[in-house]
Amino acid sequence: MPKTTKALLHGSLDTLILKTLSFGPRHGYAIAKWLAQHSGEEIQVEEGSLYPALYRMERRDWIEAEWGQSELGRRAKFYRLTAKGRRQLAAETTQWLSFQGAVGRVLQMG
Amino acid sequence: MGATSGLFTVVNGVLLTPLPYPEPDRLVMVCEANESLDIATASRTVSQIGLARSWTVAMEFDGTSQGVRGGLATPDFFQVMETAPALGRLLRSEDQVGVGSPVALASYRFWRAAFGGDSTIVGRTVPIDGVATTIVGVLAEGFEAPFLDGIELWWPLHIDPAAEENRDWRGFRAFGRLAPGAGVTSPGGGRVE
Repeated sequence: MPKTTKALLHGSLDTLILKTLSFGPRHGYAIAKWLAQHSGEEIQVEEGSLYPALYRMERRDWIEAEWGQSELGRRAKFYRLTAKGRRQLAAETTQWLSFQGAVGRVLQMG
Repeated sequence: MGATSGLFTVVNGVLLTPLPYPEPDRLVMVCEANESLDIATASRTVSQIGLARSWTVAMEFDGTSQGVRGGLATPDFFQVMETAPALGRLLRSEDQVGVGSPVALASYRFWRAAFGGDSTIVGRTVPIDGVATTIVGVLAEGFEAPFLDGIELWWPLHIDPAAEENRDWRGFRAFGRLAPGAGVTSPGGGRVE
């Protein structure tokens, strides 16, 4: 992944994870795979970024974890959104889209 | 009027609800109100407050790794719940500080299921999320926290005011005992004492 995309991802990773989980509970690996698939392979989240983010978000009570079985029949920690997490996602999405619009307008100035 | 009426009331901006536990008229649960809990205000009404939340971890025992539905709590939480351990001890404030080998309490059911009801469990160390943790006590049979059912292992909430990451902890429920003489006002204006 190019360096620019990596830096941009850093600021939005939490929100992207929340968005992924809004479609249903997933374990870590499935979250990363989902983001890659739905971003045309542009968003590649490494384990080294993903798990610290999940830990931080669980502390913040945006997501909660429980044990389940992965598709391969292995025990895995599944994450789901809390009510707080849903509110956070809504707020961040509004803010992000507004920010993205503003940056785009400036960058497209003649 | 007793606490079994299950009233939700607001006192000084803090939501209180009576709970069906020993001496039910003196035990209330204080919920987070608007993301911030004014403990100083609540403590005028509530004589003791404990905090607890769930925290999922992995434990290695007897060569296998298993998922555990864990919980984090302050020592006061167990005092407020007025529970006595079946084995060993409860958590103490000393357990909350420092970075030494952490301790944990096992629920009675988990002690039976995961440790085979081993009577020598107190003092044994097991790796939890990769960290060697000493089981210092087993909780009473049937002990369950309201809204936190099925917690199998309890850890003390570590306090390190200097640690940046401690500032973003959320999701705790607060449990308290009414101070002697303090009451909880019902929405209809009646007083529950």
